[in-house]
Amino acid sequence: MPKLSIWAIRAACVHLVFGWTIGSLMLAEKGWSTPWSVFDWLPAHIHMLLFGWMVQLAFGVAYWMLPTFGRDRGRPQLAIAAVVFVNAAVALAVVHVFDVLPAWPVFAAEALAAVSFSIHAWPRIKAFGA
Amino acid sequence: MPTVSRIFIKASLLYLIGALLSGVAMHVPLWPKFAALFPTYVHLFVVGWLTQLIFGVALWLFPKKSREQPRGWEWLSWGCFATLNIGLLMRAVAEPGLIFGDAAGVFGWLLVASAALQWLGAIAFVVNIWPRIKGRR
Repeated sequence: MPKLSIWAIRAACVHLVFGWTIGSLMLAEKGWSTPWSVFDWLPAHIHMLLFGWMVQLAFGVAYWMLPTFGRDRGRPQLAIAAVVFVNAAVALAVVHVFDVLPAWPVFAAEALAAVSFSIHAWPRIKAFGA
Repeated sequence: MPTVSRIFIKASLLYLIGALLSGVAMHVPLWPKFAALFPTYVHLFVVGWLTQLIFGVALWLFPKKSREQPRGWEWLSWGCFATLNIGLLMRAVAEPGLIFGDAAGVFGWLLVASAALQWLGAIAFVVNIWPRIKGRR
């Protein structure tokens, strides 16, 4: 497994733990009223699990598994940028919970991650040996 | 494919069917209250189907931990499967119960237990898979 995949998949696991913990607290709160509320964290929960966990895991596994050009994986800078953008997006989603930031930068970072990774992966979607 | 991965993946397919059927129930005009099942539907889909499919495939395909323990701690994988599924099924019963039933106390506590069990399931997966996220050496 290449280094970038190791970092992306480990980061995805970290997002899984944090996003899942918020989700568990929200679920518990439905059944057990508490003096505090974690429901304000719902957008962060969604971004952590859909993008931080699932999308980043997909990026990490795809970077590892897609066909290569000999020993070369094409343009790794774009894949690195995608991983950076995904993690920045989740960090921005957490900041957004405190109402100090609009939502659009979160979605913009996610869109940039998608564009970067797609440009990286496009030429690698080919027959093995081609 | 190891047994635990087969069980995870087959269970995920059952949840996919269950999630889509609950989606149908949500949209039957005769049962407008079922629209409140949206969180249950989403989590059957995202936890029951997608997450379990990922867990099953990762336990199967990720690099081996060691010659002695190629797939990590087997008991932890089974523990993850058990806690995640018991927790999710408890949610699938308790969340509608809280909406339709009158025994809010029982269903409320079931939801708390469901949250704790599902949390344990995810932690068990991460602890087990972490040493397998590695290069060839």
